[in-house]
Amino acid sequence: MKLKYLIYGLAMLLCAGCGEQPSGYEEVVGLPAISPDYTGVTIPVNIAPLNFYLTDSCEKAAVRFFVGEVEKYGCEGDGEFIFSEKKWKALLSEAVKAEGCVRVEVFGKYAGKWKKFAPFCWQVKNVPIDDYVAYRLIEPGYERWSGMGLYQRNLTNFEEKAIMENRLTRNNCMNCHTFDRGNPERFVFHMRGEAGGTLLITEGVVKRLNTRTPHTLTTFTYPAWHPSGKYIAFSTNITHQFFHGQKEKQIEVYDRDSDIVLYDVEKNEVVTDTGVIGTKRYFETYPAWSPDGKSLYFSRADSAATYTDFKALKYHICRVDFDEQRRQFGIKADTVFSTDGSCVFPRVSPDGNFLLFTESDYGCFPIWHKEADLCMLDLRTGKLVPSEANSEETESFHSWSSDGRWVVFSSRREDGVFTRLYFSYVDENGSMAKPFLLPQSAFEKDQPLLKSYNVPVFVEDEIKISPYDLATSAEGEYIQVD
Amino acid sequence: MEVCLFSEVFRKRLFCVLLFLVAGFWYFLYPHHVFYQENYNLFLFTTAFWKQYAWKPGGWSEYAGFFMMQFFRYLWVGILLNVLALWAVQHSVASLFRQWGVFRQWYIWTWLPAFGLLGLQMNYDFLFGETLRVVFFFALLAFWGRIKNRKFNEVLFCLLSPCLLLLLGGGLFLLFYLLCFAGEIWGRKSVEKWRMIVGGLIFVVGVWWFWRYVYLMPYAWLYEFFPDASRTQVVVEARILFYGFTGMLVAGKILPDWRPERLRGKILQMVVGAFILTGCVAVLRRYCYRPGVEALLHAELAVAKGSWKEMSDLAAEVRYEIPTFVALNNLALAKEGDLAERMFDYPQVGAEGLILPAGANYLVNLFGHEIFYQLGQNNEAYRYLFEAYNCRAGQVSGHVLKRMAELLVRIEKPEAAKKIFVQLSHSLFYRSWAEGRLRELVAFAPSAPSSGPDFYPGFSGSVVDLINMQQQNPDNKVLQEYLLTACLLEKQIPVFYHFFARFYPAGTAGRLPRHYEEALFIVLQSGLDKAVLEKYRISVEQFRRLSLYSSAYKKLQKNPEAARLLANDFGNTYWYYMHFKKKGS
Repeated sequence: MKLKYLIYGLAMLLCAGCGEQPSGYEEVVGLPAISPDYTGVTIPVNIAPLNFYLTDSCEKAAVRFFVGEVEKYGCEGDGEFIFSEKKWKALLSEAVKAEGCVRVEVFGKYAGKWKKFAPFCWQVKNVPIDDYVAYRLIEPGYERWSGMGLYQRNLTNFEEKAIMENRLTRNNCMNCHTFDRGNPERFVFHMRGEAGGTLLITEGVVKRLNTRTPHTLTTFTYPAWHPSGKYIAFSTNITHQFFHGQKEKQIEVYDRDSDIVLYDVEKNEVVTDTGVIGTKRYFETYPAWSPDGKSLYFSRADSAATYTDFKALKYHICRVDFDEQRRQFGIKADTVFSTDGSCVFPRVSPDGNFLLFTESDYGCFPIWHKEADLCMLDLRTGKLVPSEANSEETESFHSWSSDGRWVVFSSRREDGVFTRLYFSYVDENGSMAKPFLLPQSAFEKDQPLLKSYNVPVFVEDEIKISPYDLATSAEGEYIQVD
Repeated sequence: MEVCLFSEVFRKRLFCVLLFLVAGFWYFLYPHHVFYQENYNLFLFTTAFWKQYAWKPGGWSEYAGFFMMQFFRYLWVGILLNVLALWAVQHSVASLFRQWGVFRQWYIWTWLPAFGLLGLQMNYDFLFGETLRVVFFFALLAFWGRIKNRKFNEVLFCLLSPCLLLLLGGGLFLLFYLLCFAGEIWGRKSVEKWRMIVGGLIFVVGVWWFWRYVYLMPYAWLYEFFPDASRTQVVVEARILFYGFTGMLVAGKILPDWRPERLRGKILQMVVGAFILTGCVAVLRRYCYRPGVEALLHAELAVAKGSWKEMSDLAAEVRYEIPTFVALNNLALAKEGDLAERMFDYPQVGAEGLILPAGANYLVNLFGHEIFYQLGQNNEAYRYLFEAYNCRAGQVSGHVLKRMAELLVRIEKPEAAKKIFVQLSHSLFYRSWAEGRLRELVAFAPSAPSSGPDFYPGFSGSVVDLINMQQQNPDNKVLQEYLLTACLLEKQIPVFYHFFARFYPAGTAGRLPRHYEEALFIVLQSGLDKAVLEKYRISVEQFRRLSLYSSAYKKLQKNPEAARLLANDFGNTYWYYMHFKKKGS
């Protein structure tokens, strides 16, 4: 008997500790003001919880998740919602089994009265997103840098690990991490400064390459792995930077010269005689392969524009054939797309149907251009596909997931300064849905991160090589590229 | 009977005198090094800030140090903490020597590590967290020496080793355990020694494994005393301190009977003791004392507060000819409206003494930003400040973050500024300022777009940059003065006169600034405008001075010592600068 009362008492205490349930609420027409803005987004079934909070001050808040008409999960709090990972996964699994939609109802208590906001839906796609995304974290700066590193983030939870951090290598710069079709055991990145060189990682073996040769402009810059894994197309760029005096823009980065070369991974050779893409007449950069490896896409601008007339530097998307057996490019480069602006970062979808690129007014470094937007070109029709992904601020670097249904891109839509990662679903027509911010376990409103996420790329699995092994190799002997 | 000089009474008096002298040193000679510690660092009451240091070797001391440095804005607190640190080190070393029974003999030597710490503290970027690591090192050694039960000692210090690594940092941790290990082995039987050696090796492997798989820190951090230090000076001083101390310990063990009492006579003993102490002071004075840096820090703080008079008084007193100092002084003069009146009363180094080029140095970037900030050139101010921020490898500074936030508002990035305000609202002394600014942000409204063509500073020289800046801000009087004085410093008289005529139209009433009057004579002499003296009223005194200078110059023209001979009477004129100073010197 006494035990029964004890249990009842404990149960009551537990209930008293639970959040207040909304009751007698007034229905409000508008959507709730939540941050991040996850209203109406399309999400993959395996994504980590989309934690959010109400931006207006409320005494209490509650959220309810429905699949169909059945409430599957609920949460109460003070306006901030951190969802249980286990319950979240169960919720999304149920959603894909049903109609693929989770209806979200948000309640807030203001001046003692509950309000219910207009519900919104999350479209849950039974198309898993790649498990990892790799990126660089760096201050959005000018010429100097401090602590930076390459990181991998598990998209199914909140785990972030360092691939490499520059405090292990005398605070040098590292960039341009690129994976062979998302394979975590085959990737390449550059180190600049004291422990400089290009690190090529293939099945756990790390090679430090010296890519400066008498036949190339400079060391290798932007890479693109050939689908066969045998080659990497690199651009070589002579890059300059200068700064604006007026408040509307801060930095301008442009190439005074650039070319594309082909690096043979197995033979450690660079092919500099790349025919039509190695001429002095044009600046060629940002290579990207078609999924079948028979074409190379790239950005090209007329070299007649000089640095005093950098606004005349407009890049177009071009394509050239490639013969894998003979390591030769075609004799003619076709213009795939050109506008009055400048188009860079061409990326072909894995199914070969779409080309995603970034357009800005001029130049080849759109991250510093507020007007830069993502554009999706249907390669079958040659027409642009409308997209919901863009904002008033910069959208820039992007990558396709391995199945071509998701895109990750960098955007400065939050504040115009610090770059964050956004994910968008791409349907069969190439249309990009409203993007959602990389899920966070804690909110930036309390502890903002004063760094930018840079060059996001999908990776299919965890990168297991130790940062110490990479750091050790970075101090090791060079292998000269032939 | 041998007389020991270092009696209890004498030691206490000496102790008080030394600490009092150190406090006096900080107060009278080095106060801005104390202020710097607060102004250019920041403690945040957030878990993210804690996590930065929680797993970093030496991070616990750094975290505690940042907490205490907040209060260094009150000079007496900073001085008290610095002096207490010295006392703690001396007391710990004395305790150790007392346990060995050689305290009285070695008393003067127990002060040497404290002086070593003082030498390290004289580096402006040797932060209080690093001081704490030194204090903990010596205190733990003394504590180890007190524990008589050896087994308990071994177990305790093995179990505590991860914590000690986080407290002391790599180099000090290794040295600590090395010294303890050596101390434990000393005098033991062979069997016990072998057991200890094997145990020691296992311990080292354990530390290495922990380091590699938990910390993700460079291996250099495992053995360097202050690995954050890219400053060679600190590295050398630290090695002298700790290796010297190790030598002292060894000597104390091997030579317990050496004592100054063997010297006959109190006077000789006093002389030896005074020699040792004086020697320490002399070494500190020669190698560690940097009045130039103190003056620079004083200058920056004065300018940051807007105390222009304080800055120009300081410049008059120290007369440094380094570009950073000259630039800050010129800014102060310009803000007082005196740049063109008194510029040559101070050393000048050309246009580099007006606009500092951005570089790899934290202080240069910091000072450079101040100039652009005062000139209303927000993009450049933000750029310089950001470079300063990055020069410190992410070490957060309250002063820098405040300014960054202000500049982000000025360049109309309010949401980004908000992030910094939120960061600062987690601090103790910037909180109310940050919260106030957050409230003001609600009413933020963007201003009109910039008018006129854009320009690109840093490529075409200071004069061109200033021309562009002035065109963007035509009403900014300080910018006008900067432009004209840049032309004078670069000896571009035609450009000077072109803009002078615009800012000071012919017939301008009132007295012209002295250096402009001097420059107008050169305009006349060069034939640029033969009617210049009719357009502008120049003071009688200037005519007299010109006459004196001209005759003196004619006499000494061919004399190789002309510059030196004329410096006294005419060194503060533009004519002297034109004739004898190179552009950029």
